[in-house]
Amino acid sequence: MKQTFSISDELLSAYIDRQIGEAELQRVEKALAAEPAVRHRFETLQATVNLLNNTPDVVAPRAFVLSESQVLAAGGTIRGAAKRSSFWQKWLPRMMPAATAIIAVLFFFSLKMTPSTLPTLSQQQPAPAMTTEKDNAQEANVENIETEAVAMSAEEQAPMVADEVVDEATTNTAAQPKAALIERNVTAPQEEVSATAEPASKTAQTEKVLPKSAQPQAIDASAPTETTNIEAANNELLPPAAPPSPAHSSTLTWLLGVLLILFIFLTWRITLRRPRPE
Amino acid sequence: MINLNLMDESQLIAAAQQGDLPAFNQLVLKYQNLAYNVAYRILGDADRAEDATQDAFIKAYKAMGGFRGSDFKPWMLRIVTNTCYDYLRASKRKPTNSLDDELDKGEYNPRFRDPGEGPEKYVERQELSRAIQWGINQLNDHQRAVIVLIDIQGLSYEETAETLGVSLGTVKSRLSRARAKLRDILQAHQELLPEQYRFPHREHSVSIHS
Repeated sequence: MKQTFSISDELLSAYIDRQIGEAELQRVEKALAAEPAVRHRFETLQATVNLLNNTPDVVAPRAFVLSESQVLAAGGTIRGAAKRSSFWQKWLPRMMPAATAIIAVLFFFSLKMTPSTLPTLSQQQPAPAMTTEKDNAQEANVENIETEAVAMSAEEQAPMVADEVVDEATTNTAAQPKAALIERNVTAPQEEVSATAEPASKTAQTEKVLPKSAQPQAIDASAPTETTNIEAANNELLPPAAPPSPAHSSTLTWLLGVLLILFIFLTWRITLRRPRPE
Repeated sequence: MINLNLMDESQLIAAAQQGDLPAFNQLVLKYQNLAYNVAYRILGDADRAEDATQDAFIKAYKAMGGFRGSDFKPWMLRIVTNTCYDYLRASKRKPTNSLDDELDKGEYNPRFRDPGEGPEKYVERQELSRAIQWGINQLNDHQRAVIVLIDIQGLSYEETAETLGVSLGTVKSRLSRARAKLRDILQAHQELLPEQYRFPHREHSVSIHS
C-alpha cells in the first residue's frame, strides 16, 4: 500500500533552513523519497531560496551620515551644539520671512525714488510755492492791469530788485538766508507781474527770471554780466529743494535689490528646504 | 580628542546615546549599506529607499537614548523596516505598476557591488535582480520584510524575530508563505529569469499539497 504524506510548504521551508526537529526531519525526508509531487515542491522552493540568496547587493548611492542641521531640524539634540544652535534653529525660520518682507518694502519704496523720477520730483517740489506766488501775482496783476503804467512800473522794478538782491547775494552769499528769504518774498510777485503783463515781448527775460531749481549753480561773485548776476540771484532766491542725490539713491536701490534676492533665497533655503521632519 | 575609529561598537553606542553625533555617524557608516539594501528590496524603488534610509537614521539617532539592547543591528533594522512600512502605507493609494511598466522603467538602474566580473555576468545579475524585485513587489508588506531579512540579507530567524518584533513561529509562518508565493510567481514568469536560474521541470504530473 502506497503511503501518502501531508507535507506543507511551511514544513518544507523550515526543512530548507534546518529549523525543524528530528522527527519532522525524518518525515520530510521520507516524503521526499516517496512522493515526486513533494519533491517537486521542495525543489522549486529550494530554487527560489537559492535565487534570493544570489540576489546581488546594491551599493548605497551616498553616505547617510547626519549633519547637525538635519538632526536639529528633526527635533533632535546634539551634545555641545544643542544650546548654540537651538536659538537660531528656533528663531531663524521665523525671522527670515519678516526680514525679507521689510527689505521688499524698502526696495519698492526706493524704486519710487529712482533717478528717472528724481529730477521730476525735485522740479515739482517748489511748484506749489511758485504757483501760490503766481496766483498772488496774477491777482495783483488783475487789480493793476488796468493801467499800462503800473505794469511798466512793475517791469522796471523787477530788475532793480534783482540787482539789489544780487548785490546782497554777492556780499553775503549764503551767510544771511533770512534776508534772502525776505527778498524773495518781495521780488517773486513782481517778477511774475512783469512776466504776465507782457508775455510775448519778455520771453527771454522771463526765462532768465524763472526758477531753475533742478540745476542749482554756485554764484560767481565776479561775473561781469548782468544776466549772470540775475541768474545767480534767482538761483539764490529759489526755495531750497533738497532731494536725495540720484546716484546715491540708485546705489541704494541696487543694494536693496541684491539684498532682497539674497534674503528670498535664504528664506527659501531655511524655511522650505528643511530636511523632512520625522 | 578621542579617535572614533579606535572605538568599538559598544563605545560608539554609548557615546551616541550621550548625543555624540560623530560617534553615531560611525555607526551609520558601518550599517548604511545593509540599511539601504533592506529598504531598497522592501520598497523596490531606489529613490524612496534613499529617503527611507535617511529618515531611519534620523529616527535612530533620536531614539538612541531608549536603546537598551546589546545588539545594535536588529534594533537599527527594526527602525528601517518600520520606516519602510510607513512608506508602503503612504504609497498604497498609488496603482501597482504592471510588469511591463516595471521592467521598462528607465530609472531602474541600481549600482551593484562589483566582484570583478565581466559585462555579460553583470547584465545577467541585473536581469536576476530585476526579476526577483518584481516578484518581491507582489508580496504583502510583512512577507517582503521577512524574505528580505532572511533570504537576501541572511539574518537568522531569531534576529529577524527581534527585528520585526514578532515570535519565531510568526517568522516561520510568514517566511514559508512568502517563499511559496514567490515561487509560484517566478514559475509563472520564468522567462524573466536568466537561463541558469530557471526552475527545474516537473517530471511527473502530481497534485500539489500545501
